[in-house]
Amino acid sequence: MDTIKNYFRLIKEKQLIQLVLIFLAPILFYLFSKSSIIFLLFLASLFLLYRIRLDMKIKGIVALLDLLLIIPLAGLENSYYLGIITQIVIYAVLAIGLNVVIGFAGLLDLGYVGFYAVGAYLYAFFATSQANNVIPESIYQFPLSGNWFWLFLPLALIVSAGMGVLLGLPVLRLKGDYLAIVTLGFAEIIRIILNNADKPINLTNGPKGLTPVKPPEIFGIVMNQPIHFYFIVLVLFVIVFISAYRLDHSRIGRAWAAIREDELAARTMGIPLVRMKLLAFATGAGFAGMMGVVFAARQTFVDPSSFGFMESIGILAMVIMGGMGNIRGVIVGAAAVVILQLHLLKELSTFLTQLSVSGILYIPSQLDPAKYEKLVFGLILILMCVFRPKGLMPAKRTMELIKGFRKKLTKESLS
Amino acid sequence: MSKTILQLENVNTYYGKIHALKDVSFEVNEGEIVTLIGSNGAGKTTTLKTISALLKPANGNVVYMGKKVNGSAPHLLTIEGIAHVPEGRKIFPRLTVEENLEMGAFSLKSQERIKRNKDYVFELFPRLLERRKQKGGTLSGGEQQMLAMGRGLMCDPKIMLLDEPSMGLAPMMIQTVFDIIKKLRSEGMTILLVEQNAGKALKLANKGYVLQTGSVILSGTGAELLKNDMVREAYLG
Repeated sequence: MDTIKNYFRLIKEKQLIQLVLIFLAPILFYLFSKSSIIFLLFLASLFLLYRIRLDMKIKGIVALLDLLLIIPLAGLENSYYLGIITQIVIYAVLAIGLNVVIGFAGLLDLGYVGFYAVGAYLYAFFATSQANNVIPESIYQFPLSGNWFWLFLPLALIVSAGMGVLLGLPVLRLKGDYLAIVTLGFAEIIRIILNNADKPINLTNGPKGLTPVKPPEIFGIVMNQPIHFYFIVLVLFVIVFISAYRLDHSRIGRAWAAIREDELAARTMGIPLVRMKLLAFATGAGFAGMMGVVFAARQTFVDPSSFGFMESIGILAMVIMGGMGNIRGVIVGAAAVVILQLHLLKELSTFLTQLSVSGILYIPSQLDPAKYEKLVFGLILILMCVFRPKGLMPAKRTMELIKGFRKKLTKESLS
Repeated sequence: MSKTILQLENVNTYYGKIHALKDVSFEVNEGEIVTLIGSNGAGKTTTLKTISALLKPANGNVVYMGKKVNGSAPHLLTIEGIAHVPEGRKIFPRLTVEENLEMGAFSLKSQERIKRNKDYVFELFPRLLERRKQKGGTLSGGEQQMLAMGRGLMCDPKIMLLDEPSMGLAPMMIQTVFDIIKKLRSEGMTILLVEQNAGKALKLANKGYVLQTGSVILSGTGAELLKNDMVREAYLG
């Protein structure tokens, strides 16, 4: 008890407010799951929970309660917010993947969404009747059942990673801007192939897209509710987060850091350049491909327009906004961008429309708020570049693994 | 007679169409300091890069420990014990001194050996121990050179290729660097030293080769070359 008392004495006022927010916001969100402000407050509390100095056990318990209890319960009441949170988690995974390529290895990849498309179409092709255009119905009658979804997650990861290596082999001789342009071209090639591969054999159904994609199924339960997808993406998120974190703190992560800093020096250190770059490319691509499967299953519909250049730029913006090279920062970036795009700007639009409908403020139709969502988004990005060029949460240059190793060493060499 | 650790036989290297190394041949024996001198563009750095497989020779042989290694990959040669300390130091400016050193030990897997090598480097360069937590980019030029050499030592090398270690350093620092090179030899290290500072390098070296526009035009012991009229005129002023 004494330790607790001491602890509370140490807490300053600011921290007290934060503490209250952390515990209060989830409860409020559960009670008033329709209020937009409380939804934002809740997300802010999640962020604070990560930043605040608090016993790790308490932090963990609150985080688990928030993620596993509050969000699903509130989501049952209001699936709109659950959808946004799911979207945040999906993009967080994509951003973590892109961060491996850009933030860790320093390779500017603008064609990331191409791998996302590969994963999405891979599942959609077999989980709709589309596959029967190639494989006769007498052999197997597609679509595959939703049970196959689970197999397609690792399968898409492998196929996309393979595509990453195939693209990487010729392309990784290029650096910087040149690499960016070639990867951009690659994503466009994929999109255009998807758009046109409906003849002579109808593989992708062209611009019309593939539908209906079978939702995942487990033990006979069809998982087509928002709440199901929330849990699916949460599990994938945890897997991807841990893998990316472990990679960053491994020998491979160190090699990436060296390549990012100075390629020539990295080579003289004995770091196999091509192999390490390919590995970064394949890792990022694999994560994207896996998320593509989830995308296809969640939307139950895929078409080429979902994988345009803007999508790549959006994910890139998350990585840059959050802080290149920092996994946690990138997650915050993903959350910020998704909330901006899907929630705040939409709210602003409807708010202004309401004003002009009620006659308080006249907004001509050319200036319809819905039309300048992208403008506001662009302005925010420019402001970010001016004031926080390294992102919301810049990466720490020091590597924890080495830090631990160093601590041990310092003790030994000092004694 | 000590054994030959590295031998170049009629090596030709091109940058695109430019013939940078023309039939370069020389050898380095174990425990020696061998220096390559020559003016800018003579092919000194190219020679080192060819040895460490950063460049591929068009023809000729690079023989290391009795094995032909041209066409090998830089990371394999690091494992074999060739440490290349590149020109301009090329330390990682945003990593700490200690992290820089650990990068040098990338080819090693045993934590014990990494620790042992690190202790050895810190013993050799006490300045680095003082600054172990500082970012590489905040070190002075001389300290950065120490760091670059220390990083090269981290991979348990049998031979070190030092490219212009005295470049851009204050005179006092230059002396320190040369002292360290001498010390390394006394501990049995083989060193191939590329220098513009020909006088100091030749005084130290067992053997020297003079490169001019990609060819070896002169060779001899350090003392011989120091006395040579042509060398005196062209490189010692």
